[in-house]
Amino acid sequence: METYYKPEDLPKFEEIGKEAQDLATKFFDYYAAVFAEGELTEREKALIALAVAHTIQCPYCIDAFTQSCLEKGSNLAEMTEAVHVVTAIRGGASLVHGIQMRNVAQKLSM
Amino acid sequence: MYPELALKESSDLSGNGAVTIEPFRQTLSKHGLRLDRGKTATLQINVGLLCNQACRHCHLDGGPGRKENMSSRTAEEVIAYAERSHFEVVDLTGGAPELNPNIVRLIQGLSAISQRVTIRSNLSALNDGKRDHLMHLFKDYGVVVVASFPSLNEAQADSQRGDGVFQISLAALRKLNAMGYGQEESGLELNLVSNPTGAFLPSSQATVEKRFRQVLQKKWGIVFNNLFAFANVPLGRFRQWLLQSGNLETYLGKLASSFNSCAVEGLMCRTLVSVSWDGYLYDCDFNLARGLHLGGRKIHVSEMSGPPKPGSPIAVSDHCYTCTAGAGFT
Repeated sequence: METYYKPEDLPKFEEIGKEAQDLATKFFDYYAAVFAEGELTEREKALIALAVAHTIQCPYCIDAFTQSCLEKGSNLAEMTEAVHVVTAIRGGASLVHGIQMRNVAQKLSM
Repeated sequence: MYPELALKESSDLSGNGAVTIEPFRQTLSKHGLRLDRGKTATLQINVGLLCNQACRHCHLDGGPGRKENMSSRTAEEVIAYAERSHFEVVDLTGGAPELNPNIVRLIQGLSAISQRVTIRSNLSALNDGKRDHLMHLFKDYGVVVVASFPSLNEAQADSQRGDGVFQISLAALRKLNAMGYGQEESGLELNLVSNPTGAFLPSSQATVEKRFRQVLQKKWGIVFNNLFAFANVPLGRFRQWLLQSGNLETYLGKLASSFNSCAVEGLMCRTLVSVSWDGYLYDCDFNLARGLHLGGRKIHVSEMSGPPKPGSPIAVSDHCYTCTAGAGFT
């Protein structure tokens, strides 16, 4: 295998249903319902998805939701801010564990 | 998240960029559809390719260097054609129609004939400090202004249309609002057109309109009547950009895979005829850009006794996928 990630695999996503169609149908129906306009707009949902895509570092999702955000009217400044939001949460999650480190260190130290 | 690429057979747009999509006519026939004229109610007049801007999404390659501009003789022939054809709507476009020296005569002549005259404005030609008289003319004749306003983001808008255009456009919209355009019960209609600022498709028109209405009002106190969200047509300068940026194949694939058979019946080309700056007829402004003549031959307005006959076939090519993508193009 030359590479694990190939852009041409993204449009083949639905092929995942070939061995377990019922489960795939349930997933894709749920997926479509999640991204439909509700209390949040489709644009807001796409921004959340883009941000999460960076947290899980999924290149397929980053590709798809970058396009989706642009199509739904977001601009690069908004998209960049969204990525900073998840970066802050992700970095904060590491940093807040520093308290745990301090607690352990303080318990062990004289 | 899982767009299907419809890359199957050689396309007649493939000469420039080796792109392969199913020919549009074949897709129509697969769905049991034909594209024929209904009753032609709209005359679209492209007064020329001269424009003060050189937008990167322009399907006509319009720009400051273009010499093609409708002469006064052709303008009179077009007015005479409109008179004998009884079009309900006349739609003036370009280039920048404001730059044509015969625009005043066209508006005066056509307003006396048709119930509704619209003009497509890039806003910067109208608001260049030399054309306030045109704004007043539009108001006096009740001309509907259809203004390009691609994005609520300055960087995106300027990247598509040129540096500074976003701010000039805002100023023009404020001026039109002050004259009554877009205001309730003024009778002066101001519509916006939003095109994506890149190789992607627009969101649903209702969603875009709702957001633009909220943001324009809140941030700049601007109001408008309707917004049209149009996909960019892969012709002219936009096609060149798609090719150079490596987006052509994916974009054409996206248009083809978004084919909506339900959009065919309402396509604008079924009820519109387009006339070029030199007086020749086409099924739409995109066929004009592509050089696909109405009925497959060069016909001048002066030869036509009336609108094209209902039932006559419409010339198609693969750029037609733009108008059938998603909800369609009106």
